[in-house]
Amino acid sequence: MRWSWISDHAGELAMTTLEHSAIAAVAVLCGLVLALPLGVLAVRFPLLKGAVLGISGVLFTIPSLALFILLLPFTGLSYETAVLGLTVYTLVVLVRNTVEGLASVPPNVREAARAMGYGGTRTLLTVELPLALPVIMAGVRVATVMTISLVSVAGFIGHGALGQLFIDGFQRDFAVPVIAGVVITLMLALVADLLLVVTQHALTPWTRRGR
Amino acid sequence: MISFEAVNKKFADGTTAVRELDMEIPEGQLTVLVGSSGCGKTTTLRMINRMIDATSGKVRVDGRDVRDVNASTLRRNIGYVIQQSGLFPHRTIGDNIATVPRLLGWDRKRVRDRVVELLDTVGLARDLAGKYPHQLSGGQQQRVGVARALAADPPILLMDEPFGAVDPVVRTLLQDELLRLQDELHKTIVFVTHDIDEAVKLGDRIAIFKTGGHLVQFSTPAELLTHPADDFVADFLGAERGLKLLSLTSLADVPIEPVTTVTESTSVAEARRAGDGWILAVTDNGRPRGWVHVDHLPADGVLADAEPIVAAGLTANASLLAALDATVSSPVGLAVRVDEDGCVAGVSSPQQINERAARFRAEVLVP
Repeated sequence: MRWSWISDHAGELAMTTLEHSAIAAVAVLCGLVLALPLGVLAVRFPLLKGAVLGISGVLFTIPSLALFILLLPFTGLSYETAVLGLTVYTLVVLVRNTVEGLASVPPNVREAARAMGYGGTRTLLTVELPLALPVIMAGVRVATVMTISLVSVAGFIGHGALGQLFIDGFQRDFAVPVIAGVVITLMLALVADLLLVVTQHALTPWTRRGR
Repeated sequence: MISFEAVNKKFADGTTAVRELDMEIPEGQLTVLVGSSGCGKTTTLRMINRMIDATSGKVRVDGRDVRDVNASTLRRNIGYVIQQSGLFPHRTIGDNIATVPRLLGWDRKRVRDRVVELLDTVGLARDLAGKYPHQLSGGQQQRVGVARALAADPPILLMDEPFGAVDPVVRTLLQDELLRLQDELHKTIVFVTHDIDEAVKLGDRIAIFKTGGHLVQFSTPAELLTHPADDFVADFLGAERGLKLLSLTSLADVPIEPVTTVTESTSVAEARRAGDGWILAVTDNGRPRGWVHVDHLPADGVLADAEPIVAAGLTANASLLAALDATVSSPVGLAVRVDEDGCVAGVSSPQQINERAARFRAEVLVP
């Protein structure tokens, strides 16, 4: 084992880690931007609910490698293909949690908002979404951890970030890059999850226990 | 004033919630809508602030058809209190109370002052403003619900079974507070309940609804108890109509007879000399403790060592029903009367209470 490979490539590894985080973050954010309106629509129009949840669920069952290959004719071996594929995977968790979060808002709270003269949009933005936040954030945490590990699969189209280390190590029959890639991916997932927990804690002061 | 003119409400599933309703709800009074579930009382309430729109007929508030007013504007001028308070769990108590004033665009200082004022009004500590609803008890949350509804000082207050989810002791307390508030504020309150005792206690007027959305009787509690419109109303009022009637008038005009009291710190020997049967023990500041029989006093010590039969003191505001209950529970058949400070003022006998009841009956029983 030549562990010194790690220190020799420290700068490179840092860049790759950054790239990995960026791809995952952009994919989850895109997923959230799509999932929130889809979730709201699904709750507002019960007829759409089955379709929205069904389609996001079916997309999730496509094997990840196959999904990237399916996207190739449209977006090629590009960064966009990687992000797009990963985004699609986040949808199943994010849409479902948005729907569940909104459904968990107590009916009498919604009614009170209406009775005090809140319109639909104001109720959604200032009452329903904030109250759905803990459930939505739970989805964001799952989606984030999942995406961080999935980025590696995009290595097959050349945008795997830390995933490239696996390919590199495998081709050269050299374990150190593979081990480094696994460890960094794991740590990245843990750190991201921790950051999200802290964010949620800060955003939802009312859920903290206390007298 | 709120009026219903030939109002019908049919839901999409074909059920009729309200049928041909004609009713005028008087200004500045507390009107209770009462009936068993599915009788249309809540639907009637919700048609006032357009949470539900009538299928036909007109609902007017101050002469204006509510359909001609923008629903949100209408609602910001009508306070609304619901069961289990419906507070926003993600907003502090202060922010909850400030909801409507903020919608109306009040400036910060005015909102802040109003929140403090309302916490005082509903009897909550000011430092609760920064807490979240889940940190409060059910009774406290309900008070916040009332404060929130009163925030922009709306002339009308709609209350949909507001005290349905709190325990009986707290419910009684909240009912008393509501009556006290109404004494000061004179709002037009429409109050929905399925509890006839609550209706009799709170209502200036009571509207009884029957399943299928019929208004069967709309009158004062006294009229309702003495002249029920039909068997349905009579059944709904229950078997103790006569006693319920006694809850409608107070002890104020019942004379107070003097009574010998003995303070608790009095020695047993001295207490024995005070009388030869039941004596009334009071605390050192004059509050009633209970009745003690001189034969049951301990051998020595002070009166406080004896175990009295507890007697609660009745103020002039107490009802004749409570007074009658007190005489029945007392070993000497007397109700203990207290002044505003809670100190013993004397006693009243069942005969005196009955005389007052007879006069009240004569007043309300006029056909």
